Amino acid sequence: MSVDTSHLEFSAAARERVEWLRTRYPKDHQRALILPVLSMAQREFGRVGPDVVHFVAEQIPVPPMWVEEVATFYTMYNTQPVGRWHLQVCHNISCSLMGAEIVIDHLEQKLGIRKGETTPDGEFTLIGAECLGSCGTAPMMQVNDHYYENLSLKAVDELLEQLRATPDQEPRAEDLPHGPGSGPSRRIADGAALQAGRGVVVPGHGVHRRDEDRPTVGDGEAQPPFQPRDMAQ
Amino acid sequence: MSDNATSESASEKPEVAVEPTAPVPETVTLSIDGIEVTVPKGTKVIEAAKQAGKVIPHFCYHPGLPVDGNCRMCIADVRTWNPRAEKHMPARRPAVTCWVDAEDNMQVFTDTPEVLKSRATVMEFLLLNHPVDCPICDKAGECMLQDYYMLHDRQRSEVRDEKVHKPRLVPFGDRILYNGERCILCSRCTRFTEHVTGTHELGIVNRGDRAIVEVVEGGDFANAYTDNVADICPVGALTKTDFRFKKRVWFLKHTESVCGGCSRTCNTVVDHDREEIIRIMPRERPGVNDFWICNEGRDLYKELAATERPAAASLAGKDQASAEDVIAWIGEGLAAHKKEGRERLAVIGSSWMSNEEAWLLGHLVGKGVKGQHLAVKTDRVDGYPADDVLHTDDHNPNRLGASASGIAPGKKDGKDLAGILAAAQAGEIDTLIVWGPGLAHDWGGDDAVAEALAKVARVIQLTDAVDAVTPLAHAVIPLRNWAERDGTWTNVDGFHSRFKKALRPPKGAWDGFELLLAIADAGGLKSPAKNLREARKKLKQDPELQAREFLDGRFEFPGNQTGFRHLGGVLET
Repeated sequence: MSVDTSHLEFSAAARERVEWLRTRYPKDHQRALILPVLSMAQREFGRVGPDVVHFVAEQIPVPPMWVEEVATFYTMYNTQPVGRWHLQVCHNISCSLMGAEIVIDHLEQKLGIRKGETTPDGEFTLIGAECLGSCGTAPMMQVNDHYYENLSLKAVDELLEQLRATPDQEPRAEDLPHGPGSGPSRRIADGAALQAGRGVVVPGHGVHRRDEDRPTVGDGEAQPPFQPRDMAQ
Repeated sequence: MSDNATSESASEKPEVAVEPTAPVPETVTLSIDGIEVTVPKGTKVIEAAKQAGKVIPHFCYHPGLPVDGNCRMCIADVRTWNPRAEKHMPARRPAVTCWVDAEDNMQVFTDTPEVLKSRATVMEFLLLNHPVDCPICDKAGECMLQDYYMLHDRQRSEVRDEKVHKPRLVPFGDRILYNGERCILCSRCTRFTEHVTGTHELGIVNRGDRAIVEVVEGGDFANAYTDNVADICPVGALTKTDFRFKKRVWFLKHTESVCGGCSRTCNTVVDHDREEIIRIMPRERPGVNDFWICNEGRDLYKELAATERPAAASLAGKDQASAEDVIAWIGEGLAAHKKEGRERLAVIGSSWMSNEEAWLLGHLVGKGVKGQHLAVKTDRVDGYPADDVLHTDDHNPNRLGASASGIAPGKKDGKDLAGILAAAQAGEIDTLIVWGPGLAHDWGGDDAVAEALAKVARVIQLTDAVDAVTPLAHAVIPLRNWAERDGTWTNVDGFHSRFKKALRPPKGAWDGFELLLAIADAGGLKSPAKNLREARKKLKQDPELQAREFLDGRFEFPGNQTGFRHLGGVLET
């Protein structure tokens, strides 16, 4: 095919991971590699455009069309380049009831872009995402690989400031667990930033169902923002 | 098993004479709407139903492609036999018959009110975003969606929202246009590129109501079989640029024919109207072309229309010679050779001759005149290269059939093509009969042909096209081409295919078989058959032909076997 992939190359760690993944599937079912390798490529190259699709197809190897079908089917693969921070605001039913549209409108105004666009400085891309499975903590958004839940407009403003101030930290392949969908998560943990009455700070992961697990809100207890969550622990 | 048996079995085994039996294919018997059918194990219910004469409506299922089961149109009430309860289990939900294997004692109901209602519901979903632009759609008249809508649904759309808009008029290579809005995403075209050609150009990208078929990024849909995707498209999403807006399909007349593009001799249907071929479509023929033909074969009718035909019969030294004059002259020439000089007669046959013509000419020259020099020339050298799908490396349709039926060098001292050329150059040939154009391919160009023919006293060309030989020939008789006559060809694997007369031949063009009969009459030669039917019968029974390896017991003239069923005008497969 006539798509040039010569400018693309996996890092040593990513190559190693691909080889490791390869052993997980039978020889005649290497098609199953498309999902994890595409995910790997997105982390390496920031997007899965046509060149990356063909690059992934060469790596596995499978016909490029198979990869293209997968890459365009799943919304989590970015076929267009995205900004440094990819803001994915959930706008499904639970988040919508809790004001997701207000959050999106606010972000649009604040960033001066429409849904689906990237700021001119390449810092932020804003999209509306389908259900991200965090209905209990609506409204929420995913920024790159991390969840930010129980959003309020104030929290969003603060988050934007923090993201702008955060030095560029591209997640590296070796930091990630095997396969897609199990990336680390960060949550807003600044109690003061949450709307009174429905904000629940959830350090760690999962929705805590028992009352004794629920931390209290707004008591001024200082918690470090951007607590990384490690799935391995 | 007892100890005794196990201990003895080891020693006894070699002595037990095992009768070599042919593996009997396991069959299952089931009932389709009360009609009992027996099919091989592993047959899908939809195929079993076909054998019972019930075509279950379907979109994504195609017998030439792997089963996908995505359209859900072929649902039916399938009840399996429960041996413990000794009764048929009531179906909990309609089963997808293209996916379910036929089982023993299975009961299938394909047209109960419940099944029809379920299908109507499926259709409602399929038509959800379909533009229903049949009046301007090329597929109308042979569209499965249209036919099934009239069969099942016939209800107004309940959707009040605007339909989803998708790309239209997307070129897929040069020959196919894609309309995303008409597409029902049955994936027949993508499975064709994946499993038949193996080129993987097409795929379904995006998802939900945004999903469309697309050509792979950076690639082109340019393989040799692209037009088949438009044939198998059950709706008007893929249309051929060659056929778009040329003719409404219900005006077309369908004639079974055979493609002469290469020695595969794919079985085709010539769709024609007002004595003009509008398009060529594939016809199902297992073992030959299955369901497909190549783009080159589809374009053959253009070549046919562009061919320069000889205007009328002509005879050197005689103005306004009638065909009868020419035939008489040829007959007398042949008769002269019968008396003496039979080694000075040569026949160069064509791979476009039918088996019957080749057989008759072989008889007249070989047995009647006792001529020995007969050979089949190479008519075409250009064409697609051979591949694993259909194309062969020989672009001459009936080379095998023509030579096996009689146009082959005689056993005694028969000369082949090169031998005839050498003899002609040496002035040892008095009469040369050339069938059709294209002698230059074997004889080293037009100049070499002219040089050799200058030394031949009687050059006779029986042809449907003018070439360099025509002006040099002493006698020319126009022939009908493959679309204008009836005959059979034998393909590279020994399968015989019959083509039928589709077009009215131009005035003065002779049917090859009848012309040979007339020549035999004029020359006082005894014809072995009085008509085409008799020739076909004798050809079938000819012990010499039967002895030839290639015939292999397959010398039959199958018409439609399972394909080419009309369903409201559709080539239903």
